[in-house]
Amino acid sequence: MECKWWDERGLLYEANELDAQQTSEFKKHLDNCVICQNEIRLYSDQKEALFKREFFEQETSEELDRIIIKECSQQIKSRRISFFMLPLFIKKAIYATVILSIGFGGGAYFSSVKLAIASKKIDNNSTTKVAEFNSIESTQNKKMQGNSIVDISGNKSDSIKPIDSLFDPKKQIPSQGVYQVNLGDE
Amino acid sequence: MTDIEEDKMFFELWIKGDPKGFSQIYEKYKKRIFGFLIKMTYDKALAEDLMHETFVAALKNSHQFDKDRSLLSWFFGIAHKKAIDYFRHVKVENEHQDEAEKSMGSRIDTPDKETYNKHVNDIINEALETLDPLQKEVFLMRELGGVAFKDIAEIMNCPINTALGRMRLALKNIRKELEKRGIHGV
Repeated sequence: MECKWWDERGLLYEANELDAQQTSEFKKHLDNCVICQNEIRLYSDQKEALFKREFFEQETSEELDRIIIKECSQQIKSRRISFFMLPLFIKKAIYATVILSIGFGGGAYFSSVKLAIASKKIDNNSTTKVAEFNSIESTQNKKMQGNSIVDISGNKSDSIKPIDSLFDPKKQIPSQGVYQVNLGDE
Repeated sequence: MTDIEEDKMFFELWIKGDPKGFSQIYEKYKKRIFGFLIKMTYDKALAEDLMHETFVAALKNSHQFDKDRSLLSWFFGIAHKKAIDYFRHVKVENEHQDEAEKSMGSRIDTPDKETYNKHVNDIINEALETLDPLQKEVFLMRELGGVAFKDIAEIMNCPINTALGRMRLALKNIRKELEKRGIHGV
């Protein structure tokens, strides 16, 4: 004799794979079905007496363990240093990408920095504000005036003085460097 | 700490490049996976090869493992695939047209079989040998690996009702074999 409840849900019930509603339905059915009760009892007895895990487990040889663990451990370790083991041309490509990213990113950042915004160091003891910034947006609107670079782009001329002592005012104004700018009186 | 939490912890170590994570998992599950492969192949040397391939494949595909699922189910899935691949390969070599799965379990016996005595684990293992390979595989995944039926269905690429049907037949046939050996009511 067979019962479709056992066929469809019995084993799932035993394996705790039914959802709450299905479990409740099966339990109700189980109260009134001798076939399912019998199947559950038999399966439980078999599991307890015969289907013990140790009956089916198999010892591995030490040699097999050694081979598998050694090979897999080496592979795991090699993944940790895999970057250093990459071919040289791939590493060069990675380095180039990183450097270019930094260059473009940095350029975009500094070119967007206005003189006044870049100003972080303000000499409070002076009647003039002195700003320090890391690049000149464009050297086209700058001209030399003594030892200073003067910005003539706006209505007001800002006096910009290169901080770098190695800067030679006789040469072309570099587009990047460290400068001071006189922002004028308050 | 539950089994699943422990597995997660060791798996994290493994992924981070610590071989200890892997060796802990290997030690924990090696007997069950090897037992499964031995019973599917009845060839110790072949089972050792498949065991080796299973763990190397697990290592290679570790990024594909869904951490919310059972680690042991995942290993059983890989072991199943390795066994199926092997028997498909044998089938092509031998130009047999039968399904690859049907070949399973038809190989030579393990040397240990000669020393079988009539302890209960021997009896149950003898009963297992009489099963259809597909029934035996479902039975072992469930009883040895504790693999959920929905996972068994996924691993064996069949509907869950097919997996349940194979399990029911396995239980029925084991019962018959036990009765033949004078064991009743269990």
